[in-house]
Amino acid sequence: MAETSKIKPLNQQNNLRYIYNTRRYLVWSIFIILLSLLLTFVSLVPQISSISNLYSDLIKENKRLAQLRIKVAQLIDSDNSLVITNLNNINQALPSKKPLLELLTSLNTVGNQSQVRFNDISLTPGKISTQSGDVRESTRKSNKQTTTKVNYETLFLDLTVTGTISNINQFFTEIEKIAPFTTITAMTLNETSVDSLNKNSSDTIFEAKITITSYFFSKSISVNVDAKLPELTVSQREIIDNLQSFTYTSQNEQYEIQGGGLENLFPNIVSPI
Amino acid sequence: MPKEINFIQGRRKKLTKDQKNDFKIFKIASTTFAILIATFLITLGLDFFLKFQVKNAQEKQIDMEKQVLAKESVEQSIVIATEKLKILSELFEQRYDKQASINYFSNVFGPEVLIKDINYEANERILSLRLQSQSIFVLEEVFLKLSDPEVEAQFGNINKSELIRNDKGGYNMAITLSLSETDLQK
Repeated sequence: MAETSKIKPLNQQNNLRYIYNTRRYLVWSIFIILLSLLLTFVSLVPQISSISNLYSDLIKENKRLAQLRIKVAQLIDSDNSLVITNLNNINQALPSKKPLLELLTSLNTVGNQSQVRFNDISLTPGKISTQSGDVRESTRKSNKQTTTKVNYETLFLDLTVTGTISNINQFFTEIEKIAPFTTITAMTLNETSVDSLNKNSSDTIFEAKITITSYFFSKSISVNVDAKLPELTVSQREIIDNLQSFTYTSQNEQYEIQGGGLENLFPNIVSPI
Repeated sequence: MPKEINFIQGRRKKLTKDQKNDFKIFKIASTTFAILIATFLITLGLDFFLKFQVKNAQEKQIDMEKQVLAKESVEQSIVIATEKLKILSELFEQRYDKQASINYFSNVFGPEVLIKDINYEANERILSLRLQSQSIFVLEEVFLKLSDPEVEAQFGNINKSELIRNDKGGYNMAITLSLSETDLQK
């Protein structure tokens, strides 16, 4: 009984020390497992997720970089491109503003070439076009009450010309080769009299009343920096070839008062150029 | 009878066996931990590398964007011109149908028939022609030609109307056709 009473119960600290001394590796194992779990869920999982996002970002950025590289290369090569070399023809064939003066000048040119006489010209100019109208996209309702986007506007002109049938035929042919792009939408041909200007001629003179329609560009365009430059289709290349045979007129814009000895009524206004 | 009895001998044997198992677990746990540390270091390196790559790509993009912006006016011209070409292509196609139809009928009718009036509805693509001839027999031939299966195959149903005699003793006839139904060989 005396021996038994000498054995003292182990306190808590001694218990832990005993466990550590006897099961040291197990304690370390538990500690390492806990640390591993902590490392996995606190660092590794978010890190892998971050890498995954970064990788997809890198793919996107590289894709955009490749697009930009292509675009820069296209822009560097564009000086010799078909569009740039024919830019003036394209812009004159479909101008970005109402081409009334250009149309009248071209009509005068083809009228002289085909030797027809203009008896009457009347037009419906419509709304006054401004430069701000260049970037406005217009919409027009068709008869079927559906809204369709119209990327161009039209200018109608009624003409009455007289001449021999061959001259009028030539005029009709030439009028559809002028810039701005013009087409005959209505025509009435009437026989009038024997050529009064040339008494020796037996050619019959015809009077042609025609309605022509000219077109101009009115679409708004937006472009992304990384969007590729548009490539020409076969039909668009053919259009550029067709435009070579068009009759063009040069209309220089006037920015200052020229000739006539007129006094500049607005001396304080500085010329924009 | 032995002098001493070792009560903890069995206990030591058991502990040695448990310690061996503990050591095995410790080896597995420490190996796993080492792998996890290595993976962590690799992913950390990969993270830095990818961030560098993304930053590098973004810097190059900024450089490229500057080059694109320097040529902005050229780009604008090309894009607008291409859009204009699309519209011109459409307008040329519409006009081609009209021109081809008029040329076709001029050749079919012959020199004795004058195309007196032309009316073209661009939106509906309807072409109306008024023909004039001094002879009713010529217009009768025209009438027969317009009813020819070959012509009908190309232009669909051609509406013939208003066959009248004019003041000068000639004859007029009107025809109307829808170009959207045509099958013109381009």
